[in-house]
Formats: sequence, C-alpha cells, structure tokens
Amino acid sequence: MIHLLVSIKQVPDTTNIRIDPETGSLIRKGVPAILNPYDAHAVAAAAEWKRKLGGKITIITMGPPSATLALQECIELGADRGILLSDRKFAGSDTWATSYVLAEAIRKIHEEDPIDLLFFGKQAIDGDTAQVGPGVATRLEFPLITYATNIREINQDEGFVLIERKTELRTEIIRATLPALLTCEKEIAEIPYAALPDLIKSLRYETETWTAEDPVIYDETKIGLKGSPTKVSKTGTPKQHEPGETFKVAEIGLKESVDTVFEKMISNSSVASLWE
Amino acid sequence: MSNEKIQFDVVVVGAGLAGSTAAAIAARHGLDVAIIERGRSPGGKNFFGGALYTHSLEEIYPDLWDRKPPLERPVTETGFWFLSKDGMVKATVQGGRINNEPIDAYVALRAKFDSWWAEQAEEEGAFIIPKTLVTDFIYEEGQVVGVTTDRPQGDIYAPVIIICEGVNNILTQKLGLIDHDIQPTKAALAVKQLISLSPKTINARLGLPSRKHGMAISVVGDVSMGMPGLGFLYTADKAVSLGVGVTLHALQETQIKPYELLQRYLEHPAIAPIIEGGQLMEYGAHLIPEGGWKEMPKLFTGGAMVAGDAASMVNALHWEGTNMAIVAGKQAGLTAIEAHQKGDFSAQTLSSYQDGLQERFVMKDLRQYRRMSKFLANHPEFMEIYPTFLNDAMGNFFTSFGKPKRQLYKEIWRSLTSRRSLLKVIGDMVSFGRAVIGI
Amino acid sequence: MDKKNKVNREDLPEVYIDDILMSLKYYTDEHEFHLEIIDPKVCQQCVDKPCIDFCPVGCYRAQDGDTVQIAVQSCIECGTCRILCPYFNISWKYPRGGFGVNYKFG
Ligand SMILES: Cc1cc2nc3c(=O)[nH]c(=O)nc-3n(C[C@H](O)[C@H](O)[C@H](O)COP(=O)(O)OP(=O)(O)OC[C@H]3O[C@@H](n4cnc5c(N)ncnc54)[C@H](O)[C@@H]3O)c2cc1C
Repeated sequence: MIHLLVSIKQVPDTTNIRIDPETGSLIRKGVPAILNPYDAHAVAAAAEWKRKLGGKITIITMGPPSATLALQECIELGADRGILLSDRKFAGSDTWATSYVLAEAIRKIHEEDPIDLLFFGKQAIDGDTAQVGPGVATRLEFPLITYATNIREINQDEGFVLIERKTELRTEIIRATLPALLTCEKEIAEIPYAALPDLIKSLRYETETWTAEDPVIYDETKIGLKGSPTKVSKTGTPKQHEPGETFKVAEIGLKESVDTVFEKMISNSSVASLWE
Repeated sequence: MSNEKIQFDVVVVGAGLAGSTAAAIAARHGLDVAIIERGRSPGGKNFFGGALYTHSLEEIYPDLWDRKPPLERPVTETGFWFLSKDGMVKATVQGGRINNEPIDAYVALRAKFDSWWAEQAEEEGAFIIPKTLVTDFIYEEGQVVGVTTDRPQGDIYAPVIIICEGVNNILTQKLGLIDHDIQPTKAALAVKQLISLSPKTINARLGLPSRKHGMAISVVGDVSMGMPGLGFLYTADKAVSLGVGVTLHALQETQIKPYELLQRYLEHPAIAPIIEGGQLMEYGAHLIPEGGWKEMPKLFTGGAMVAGDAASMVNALHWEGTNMAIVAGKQAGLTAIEAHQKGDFSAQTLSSYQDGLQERFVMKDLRQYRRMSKFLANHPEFMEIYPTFLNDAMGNFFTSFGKPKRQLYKEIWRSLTSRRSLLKVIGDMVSFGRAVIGI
Repeated sequence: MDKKNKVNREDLPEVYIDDILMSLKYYTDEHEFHLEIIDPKVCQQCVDKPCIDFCPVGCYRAQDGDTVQIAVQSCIECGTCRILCPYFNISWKYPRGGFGVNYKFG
C-alpha cells in the first residue's frame, strides 16, 4: 500500500480571460476557476500508480472555500481524501508563506500516515512562479525532482523512485530516495475519463477544512500578507502592439497565405535562428 | 474502487426542463432520484429562442417568485412582424390582459435558467450526475432496469427510467419507442445570435417603457426567403435574441447556409437599426421537433417513459415546447411515484403517464395541431406571398394621399390576386383554419 | 419546382463563420472524435456535398475538391448532419460527457 500526496491549486481559467479593450487590462470578473492544468496531470499520475500498487491519494490545497470544486475534481480523477487549508489569515500569502503553510500541513499528515511520494504541478498558470513545490521540498528536506515527465519505477521495498525529467537540452533519469517530491509536466500522465463510481464519490465529497489554528497551529508572523516578503510595488499593463497586417485565407488561398506568413517571418528575422 | 451496483429509485436522462421537473417531483415525494446529464453542468447544452410560460413554472413551484428565478424580461408585447424585402408590418399586442401580473411569459437564457431549474430539483433531493452520457439500456426479462453510460464502470440501475433527452431522441429510438430517426420535413433548424445592447438602447429602439417590459416576436415573410420557417426576436435584459428557423427539408432543397440566412435577417433594413452597435455575445443552433402529434413516439414501455422534445411535444406555431416539457416531466414523475407505491413498473402501470397527459393541453393541443407542419410545408405562400402582400397593402393604404380611394382598394386587391388566385386564397384560409382548429 | 433556383443566393451575405464561433466556449476532447465520415469514397462521389452548406457551424469543408473534412471541434451537436447527409455517411454520436460546446447563455 502506498500513500501519495498531491498539492493542487485552483486558478482562473486563463484560456477564458478577456482583455478590456479600453483599459487594456485583464477582465477578471466572471472568469471560471479551474484546477491548475499541471496539477490535474499530477493527480492523474498519482491515480495511475495507486491503481498499480494499491493505496491511497491525499490532496491538499490552500485557497478560498470555493476551492472545494478543485478538490472535487481530484476525487473524480481517483483521489481519496481532500484537505482544504482555508483561513482569512492565509490570504495574501506569497510563494514563501504558501510553501510554509503547505509544508506544515504536509508534515502533520506525514506524521499520522507516512507519505511515500509527493506531487506538485510544474507551476500554476496564474502566477507561473514554479516556486511552491521546491519551497515545500526544502522545508521538509525531501529530495526534489522538478519538471518530471515520467515515473519509471516506485520501489517501496528499497525506498526509491526512478523519475525522468525534462531539461532544455536532454532528458535525465533521476533516482531519489523516498519520500521524494516531484513537480510535474503534463506528459507525466494523461487525464483519464473518470469512472462513474469516482465521479459519484466526487459529487458527494464534503470539504475537510483546516484553519490557521486547527489541527496545525501556524506562526501568524509567517503567513498571509504579513508573512510574505514579496512586495508588489507597482503593476502595469504592457503597451498594446499595433495589430499586424491581415491576410484572409478565404481571399488569397491557403498556399499564398502560408507563403506570405513565412516570408514576413523570415524577413523580420523572427524565425531565422530556427533555420540555422 | 467499489464494485457495488449503483442503484436509484428513478433515473432521469437529461437535465433539461422535462428532466429536472420529473426529478423534482419524484424526489419531493422521497424517492432516490438521479439525473444524468451529458453537459459539464445542467444548461450547458441547452438553447432556445425564447420565452418560458409562467403557468408551467408555477405549477411545479407555487412559491416560484420567492425562489428568485433567473428570468430576463417579462413579455409585455407579443405578436407578428411581417417582413417584405425592405419593409415591415407589425401586428403586436401590448397592455390589456398581457400586462396582468404575473405576466404570462418571460424571456429566458437557457444556460442560466436550466442550471437554476436543476438546482431546484437538487433542493428537492435529486442527485445530479453531470458530464456523463447515457448510451443504452439494461434489460432484465424484457423490462428496462437501468442505463449504461460512457464512463468506465458506468452502469446505473433503477426500476424506472424517465427519458428527457431532447430533440435528438437517440435513446428513444434505441428503446424501440419510435421506429425511425427524425425526418427532414419534421424538424426545423434554428440559428440565433444573442446580441448585447444596453437596456436603454433596447428600450429606445423597440419602444419599451422600461426594463420591466419585453418583447416576444415571431417574424414572418422575407426572413425565411420563402421557405417554411419563422424568425424571432426576444428581449433579454441587456441583449436581444434574433434567430431564424427553417425546416431541414427546406435547407436540403435550397442548399443555403443557415448562418447566411441569419445574417441576411440581421441586415434587413427594418432589423439592422435595432441591433446597430451591438456585440455578438453568443451564436448557437438547435433543432426544433415539428412533427407534433404525428411523430410522437410511444410514450412508455416496461420500466421507461419519455417526455419533452424527445417525445415530439412541441407546438411549433405557438413556440410552445418548454411548458409541454415541464408538464410532461411532472406527469412522468407522478407516474414513477405511483409505480413505486404499487411496486410494479410494467408498461401497464406506466400507461397512466399517457392517461394523465391526455387530460392536459399537451396532448389536446398537439392533437388539434396535428396537420400544421404538413400545412406549412404545403403552403409556402404563408411564408412569402401573404407577408409581402400585407406590406404592399399597408404601404399603399398609408401613402394614398390625393388618390381616389376606390383606386386604392383596386390596387390592393390586384396586388393580392396577381400573386395568388382568389380561389387559392380562399382554399389557403380554409386549410389554415383546419390546421389550427384541428378538424 | 426547383427550389434551389427559387432562393436567390445572390441575396445572401457572405459570412465568416469562424469569426462567429469565437463567441462559443468548447471543451475539446483531444482523444475521441464524436463525428466521423463512414466511407470517404462516398463523399467523393457525392456531387452536391450539402453538408458543406447545411451545417450551422460549417464543420464540413471540401478538401482538394472532392473529399470532405470534418472540423469536429466546432460542432455544436445539433444533429442536422445525421439527418440530412443524403448517404447517411456520417457516424454521429454526442461527445463524451463534459466535452463539446458549453453555452454560457443558451
Ligand atoms: C430556437 C428555439 C426557440 C424556441 N423557443 C421556444 C419558446 O419561445 N418557448 C417555448 O416554450 N419553447 C421554445 N422552444 C422549444 C423548447 O426549447 C424545447 O421544447 C424544450 O427545451 C424541450 O425541453 P426538454 O427538456 O424536452 O429538452 P432539452 O431542453 O433539449 O433537454 C435535454 C437534455 O438532455 C441532455 N441529454 C440528451 N441526451 C443525453 C444523454 N444521452 N445522456 C445524458 N444527457 C443527455 C441534454 O444535454 C439536455 O440537457 C424553442 C426551441 C428552439 C430550438
């Protein structure tokens, strides 16, 4: 029996974001919240290994009460338990404070029911920092493998994992002792079409909420805005580019369009490096 | 993962209006009801013109208004617009009994409304299983006892299944309740654009006194280019819905693109000023069953009933479909309760579903209008000649200043008879009358 | 009566359907296509190829003159093609649960 933990985040669906034509800024209102796509793949990978080895999957997330929906989705994908860390005092946490909050909760879970392998998404699509997974690994002093693309082996008897990870130049195969922490690329597993019993279980899921006092007592100077060293001094909207030239495929034909686009790109030298 | 059999007292297929109603009624009585819906959530697949009818909503929830239904504007003006190529004659009613509270009809957007309607069923105790497609039935000894779905380990059992799958009644066909797929002459394809405009603009352009006033208009004539079909206009709060539906048969014959037909309507000189400057919020398309009574499947069999569009319960001329779906859903829910009380789910017990519906406007109207779709298919003049004539006639009438009026009437008369012989006109009127009265 | 001639096609405005489809939200199934042409040869022999016209989202497009391609990801699941394909050459299913068009307004 194996105990897998996946840490997830609910994020705004950035494929659904529109830009306000007047101010040029993002319209956040009404944007649906989704399970961070990389996290979904991480859960799918955990579910695959649960099927192979038998065992259970715990999901953990920090977020507002509405993040229950993301936990529900993880149950649908095959997870067994979902814990929501939700408290006003957590609000405004940066990646530093967030990794503290998560690490302490995970420590608590690990004490009660030892975890073999921890999964994070590569990064969240709203902040794109890719810092929280590594932050948690460091605090817990677990080996960290980022950008994991494939789990070759989980060997509980000998206490190691074999993981493939992607770098810009090559694929590496890493052996790490358990418990280890992975941050996952989408290739790590395909999202399954959930079985009906899992879907029904997710629909019946009732949130298990942990606060800043219970069951873990947090140091209030280390959480929320107060505990966050990151200071955003100013935000701005990048200047909008002039729209480029438009060629209608319907008017000039497909071949002509492709040729034109290529010519433009090459003459702007924007693809030159690819050709060399 | 458990290998336990998934079992409910009632399974409803489809969380549309019929489905969520059937489920609410059965759940209110304490039955364990599942609604299986293929959309991501109820409403995501549903699409109409259109207007909902207060009588049907209040019949299910007498405290409707306390529940704050997400309706758009009440319909305080309704009727026909007759389009000629470049003009329009309006024949609408407003005020009078239309304004009596509660208003008879409300414009709605189905994605929002159906999601809310399903929530009401949930509050009654129904369990909604979204994102799941029902694919077939499970039988035991010739009786339906469950459904299969497209999910792994996806079988769900219940002694009574209520099929509310909408116009594409694939499951109804699979079950053998009807022996053929939809025929091109028995369904219309409607395409629609929802166009956002400020409430002020809508009021000003359509002559509505306030946001508490709205329109439901059937548009006849040039909009369908002579094909059997209708256009429509409905006012949401901050948007207008404009669409056109023509029979599949007509699409087949003319080979026109539905979205071009719609665009032509939107560019009509009498329509374009209404939507000028508006933004397209959503486009969509959906079939409307128009076969009515003649295309109605058998409504029940051992262990299953069918309600709503799936059972061809639409009165196309009056844009009545939602209320029929709701009333039929309710009747099916009541019958499921009765079957559970008896502990008998045979066709004989479920036949009381049909008996119940006979007493309601659903079956009465559908029977009365049974000749309508054939009538419209055979009388394209109703879509073209008469609306154009009407425009000519009214145009003449109101511009005949300084002309002897006897000549005016002659001209009007000639504008009709040059289009269609007097005998044919009389014949048209008689058969239209018959199709409506149903004799 | 030849209806094809009866409707004056000149009268119809040209519409770029893809622009209009930008208003729709889809959840695309990357793994399974719910529409398929059963026998491509039948389409090659089909002279009129009415699917190119009757589909309300223009899913069906002529390719190299005589074959037909389906842009499944634009499908809004109305059912017209199942009924109107003159050779019943389209295998028509709904997408898997949760996939396909998702109306925001309806
Ligand atoms: C353009 C247009 C305008 C209209 N205007 C009006 C109007 O103004 N007034 C009026 O009263 N009526 C109007 N109608 C008709 C009305 O919309 C329908 O009669 C009504 O929606 C029927 O409700 P239903 O519950 O039977 O079907 P639907 O509302 O179609 O619901 C069927 C449900 O079943 C689900 N489903 C289907 N198959 C499966 C499956 N295998 N597994 C799981 N789920 C499945 C679907 O996703 C859907 O949620 C209009 C229709 C159209 C197209």
